[in-house]
Amino acid sequence: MAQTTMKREHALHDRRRGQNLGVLVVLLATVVMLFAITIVKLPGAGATVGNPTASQAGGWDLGGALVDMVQEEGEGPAVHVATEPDRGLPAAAEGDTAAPDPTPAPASTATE
Amino acid sequence: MTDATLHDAGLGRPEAGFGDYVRLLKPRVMSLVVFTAIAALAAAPNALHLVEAVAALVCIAVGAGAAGALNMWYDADIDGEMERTRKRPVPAGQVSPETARDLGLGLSILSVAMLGVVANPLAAAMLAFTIFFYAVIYSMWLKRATPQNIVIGGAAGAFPPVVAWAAATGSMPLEAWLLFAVIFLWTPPHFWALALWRARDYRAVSVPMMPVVAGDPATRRQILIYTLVLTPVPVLVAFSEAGGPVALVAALVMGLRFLGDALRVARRSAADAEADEFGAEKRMFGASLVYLFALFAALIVDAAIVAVAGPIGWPVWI
Repeated sequence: MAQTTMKREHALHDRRRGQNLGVLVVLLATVVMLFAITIVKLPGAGATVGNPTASQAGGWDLGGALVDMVQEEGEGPAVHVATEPDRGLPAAAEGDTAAPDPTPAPASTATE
Repeated sequence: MTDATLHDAGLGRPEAGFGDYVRLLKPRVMSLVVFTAIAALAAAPNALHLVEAVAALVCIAVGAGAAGALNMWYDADIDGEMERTRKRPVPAGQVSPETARDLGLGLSILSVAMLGVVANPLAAAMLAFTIFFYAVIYSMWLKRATPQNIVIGGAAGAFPPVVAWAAATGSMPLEAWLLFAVIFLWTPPHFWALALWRARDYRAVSVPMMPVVAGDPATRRQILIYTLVLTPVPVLVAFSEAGGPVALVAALVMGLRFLGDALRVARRSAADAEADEFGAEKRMFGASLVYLFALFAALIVDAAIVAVAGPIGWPVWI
């Protein structure tokens, strides 16, 4: 009887060891799969590493906002100038932006 | 000392090994699901990263296994009465019905959630619907209610290529549904060939399979009709974005062979079948597995040819 009990316990332990090993393999495979998916789903080399939300939403939106601000500032005087042509300001404004400042030339002559 | 005396002595059911839990997931059905899903992933235009594709396949396989476990939990009462299924882990007493149910539910949630992360919400939703369809619509409702159980329930086995296509592309175009149609129309002749020689089993547990309700001759006619309807569908697949020349050859050669098997079964009487112990029916059941395997393998080969050689100018009608 004692022998039978021992045998049965041995078989039971074998089965449990097999079960535990099986669960271990499944869990390890799951970890490997999750790790591989994480690596694959990471952004490419050009993207900011760290906080993708910040780099995408903050970075892009902030950049866009800055561009808008610059454009608005640039357009301000042009609108102002276009509405007041009789004051002679358009020519001055165009000259400021289209042609370089001629004052450096005499300075270079002076060095000669 | 036998298992019965062990139970009688209150020592509980024999402890399940790891393999018993694997059997609970119906690995043979799972292998078919995985293979058709691989073919759909190969044929779909937007290739996933290999790791994503493997992970999506694992999710689909686990989802199919979960549905199998839920089926075994619900059908434990009749499985124990049928010769073909009485050695399954639940009726054999190796796994309790509650464990099978919990494993099925747990793996269902896990596989659907993971597919949503790995692929996209559409694929995850389709996988969830597939599991629901097999476990609830087929197992709990149709199987014991109507002789059309296999016809409608066959949709559950036909969804995996659609799920895989959705995982790869985020959409479910006509090509994916053509693959669905192939498996959907293939299921009745495949399963009824088996049911013809297992009719006694189904009669004993009052499951209204076609041979039990409509009789042997009507089932043989239905097998032929479904095979006739099925035969042109793989040809359509061959001329879709999913197909190619190898798929066409497979569709024609294997289709005609399968049709020949169906004709042979349809011409026989129950007495003929009894005389040779359902030889032709068993052959047709085996041939149906080869048929489906060949069709989907051909899609993989066509996809590999395009991947290696580039576009081959194959006419796409669909």
